[in-house]
Amino acid sequence: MLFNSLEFLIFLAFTFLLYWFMFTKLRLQNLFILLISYLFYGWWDWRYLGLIAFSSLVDYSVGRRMANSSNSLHKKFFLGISLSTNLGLLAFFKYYNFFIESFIEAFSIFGIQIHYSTLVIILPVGISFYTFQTMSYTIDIYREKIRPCHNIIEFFAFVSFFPQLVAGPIERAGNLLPQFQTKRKFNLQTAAAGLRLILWGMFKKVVIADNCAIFVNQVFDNYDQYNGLTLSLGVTLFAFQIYSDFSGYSDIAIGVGKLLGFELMRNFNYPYFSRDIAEFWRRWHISLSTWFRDYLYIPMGGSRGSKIQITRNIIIVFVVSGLWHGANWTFVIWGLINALYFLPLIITRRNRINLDHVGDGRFLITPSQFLQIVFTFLLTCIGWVFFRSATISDAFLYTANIFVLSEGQMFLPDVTIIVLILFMNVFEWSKRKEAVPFHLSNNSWINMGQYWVITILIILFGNYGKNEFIYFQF
Amino acid sequence: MRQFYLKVLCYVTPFVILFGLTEWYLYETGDIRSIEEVIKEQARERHTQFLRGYLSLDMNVYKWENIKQRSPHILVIGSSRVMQFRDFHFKPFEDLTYNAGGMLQSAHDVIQLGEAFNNDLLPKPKLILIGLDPWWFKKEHERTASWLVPDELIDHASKYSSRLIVLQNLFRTGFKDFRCEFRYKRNIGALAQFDNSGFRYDGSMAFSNTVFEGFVENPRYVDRGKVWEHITNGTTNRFTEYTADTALLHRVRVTLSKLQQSGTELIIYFPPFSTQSYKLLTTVKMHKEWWTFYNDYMIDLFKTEFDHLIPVECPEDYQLPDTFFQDGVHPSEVFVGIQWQRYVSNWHLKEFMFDITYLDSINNTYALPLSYQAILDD
Repeated sequence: MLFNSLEFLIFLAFTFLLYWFMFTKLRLQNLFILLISYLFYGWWDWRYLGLIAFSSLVDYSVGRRMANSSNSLHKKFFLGISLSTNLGLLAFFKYYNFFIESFIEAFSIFGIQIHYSTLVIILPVGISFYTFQTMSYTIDIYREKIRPCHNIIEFFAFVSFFPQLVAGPIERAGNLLPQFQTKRKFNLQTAAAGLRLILWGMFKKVVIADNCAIFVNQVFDNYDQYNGLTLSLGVTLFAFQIYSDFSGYSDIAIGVGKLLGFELMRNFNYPYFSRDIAEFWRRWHISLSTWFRDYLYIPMGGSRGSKIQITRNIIIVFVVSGLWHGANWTFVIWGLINALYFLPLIITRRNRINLDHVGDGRFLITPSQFLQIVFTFLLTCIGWVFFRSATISDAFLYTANIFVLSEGQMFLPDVTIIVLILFMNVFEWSKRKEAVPFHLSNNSWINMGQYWVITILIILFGNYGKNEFIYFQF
Repeated sequence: MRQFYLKVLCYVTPFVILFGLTEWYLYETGDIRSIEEVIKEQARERHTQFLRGYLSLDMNVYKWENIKQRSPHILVIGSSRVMQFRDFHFKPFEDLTYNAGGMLQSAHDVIQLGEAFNNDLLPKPKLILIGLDPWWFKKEHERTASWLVPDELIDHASKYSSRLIVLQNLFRTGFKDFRCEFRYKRNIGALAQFDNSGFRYDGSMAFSNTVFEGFVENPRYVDRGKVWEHITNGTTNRFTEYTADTALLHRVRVTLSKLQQSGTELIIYFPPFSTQSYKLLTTVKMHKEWWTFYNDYMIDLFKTEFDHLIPVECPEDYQLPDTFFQDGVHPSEVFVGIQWQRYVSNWHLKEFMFDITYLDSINNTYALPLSYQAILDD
């Protein structure tokens, strides 16, 4: 069930009404959330349900046993069970064929031919998201940061909470579980903010991302036919496509959470207004970046230690982050490119100089800030070529054709989409310090007019094909 | 909570009204009636014509479902250029005939259709008249895959998103195409209701009344699609210079041979051109190569494998003017009737002995060169 579908709208309306009117007791609310979350997930393929139930059960049991044990070896053993189960599921469902094929290819370089067969494995939607969420739960119990959950319904509902189940934000147990342990009360401001986020997320997905996709797909699928300008526009529009697609999904997820009385963590903070790559990574897919920071980078030593150790840590984190996105070498290279961007900043200790919002207190910024933003955007675009291309050689050829004056055809996107992207950016720029770029005035009619305008734009310019969210594949 | 509901109500009300009005309007036009309903309605009331105006036409779904449900013994199939064959042309088998013209848009569709028959996705007819267009065999053809993929045959009336697309189109064109005159209420679909055009029960296509009215007012040939201009200048995908795709032609031949071997009689039909178009195609230099490929090589090749073949013809072959054509490539029902009559007068297939006398009578008493019947009443 896609967020941008009529089924979801009906599903959400019924969920909202039943949730607030019929299931007013905490236990019933949690049970109801669990049931509808499983219904939501099973809508894709009911076979996925067994997997999520299994993962939840293992982590629930492991969490409780770990807390009951005072022996550190036992704790390590239980943590090992949790990690190996979750990573094992990921490895099998997401990376099995990739590793086998890469292994065989590596041997073939040395002239050794190995006969093999890969398996036809369906990748369960959102597996990377919920396995990471449950792993953070057991790791935090191991580190004694949180206490285990003693109510199986609460825990299962926490793992499968439908707004963020298939594409995040990847929640921490410390933030989300306590919310399942407290009775939710309806709050007008929160619910209204939720609806605003849903509306803005829908605009970004249906109007910006899905319309960009038409041009982007055409250019990336036939990159050998186009000239440098077209290829540059192709990757620029992809930058906006992936941002609008994923941040749009996150906005809708957070908005739905708010409607049901939950506060999910923010996942995007206007990343294309960043002045350097470090700032970009503090603003892009925040829930994943902080996950890797807390559970991989810092345990490896973080930015302490020699420059060689820091370099190693950064490269590992970014490469693993790339691989998290998909079983393809293009993602590994994408991670590596970002690591290379990041390293000079962290080694010279300039990675935390841009912690505020750009042009704080002013609408316009200085020319140097503007150039920094443009430069950072261009760097991310080079990375996006690898992220979007089907193979590494495609990505290199695509990049080469941008810089080499090729004699390909000129193909330009529709002017409408350019205007809409500008609209989105101006809108977000003007409200860049707020989580939701709405609320123009205190006059509710002016605000209502604003919602109507956005809705009319969605109706007029939305792309109504069956367009899945890009991050579902991860 | 009440305040929240009031605000939500205030926000959604204009859109509920807008969507409600759209739904009502589309319901009135019949555009949102499902293909299933249309087929039932046409079976009940055979004069009903179907042609959507705002929603996706879904002709392939409509015709696919008709073939599936009616299991016709005689199937006419091809592009829009065979749409003028009427069921009564095949008397006394008119109830067993269906015209699926328009379903095939490329050679890939022919192959896909063959697979659908061989895999029992569609019931196999006893006789198929299949029209093959020349541009299907060009290497640079716009379609590189079939559009008859069973899983992708979707009736857009069941999709809410198609209503949004209608709204988008209406707003974007400033309601230029918006009309409220439902003159032909018995028909289903906006265009069928506005102009009385559309698919008849037998699958053939009724021209819009505007075409007839124009002809009555000024009875001369009008090349409505400006085909002569395209042939002369080599414009549109159809008439650009091209290289023939012999591999694709081979696949089509194999598909058709398989069908024939499985017991289905085939009539390979090379649809006619207006005399003006025909002459241009034979004289304009840029078309020489592919025209020879289609009109000579392909026809000779098919003659060796298939017993029944109708070659490319034009009105001049029958001492008729081009007024029997809607444009340079689309013949009228009267012209295909005359062509068919000549062809079946030497016909020896015992299982299908067509009524030549009837054909002779209608072909001598037509109302207009474009139609047996004059303008239909409201």
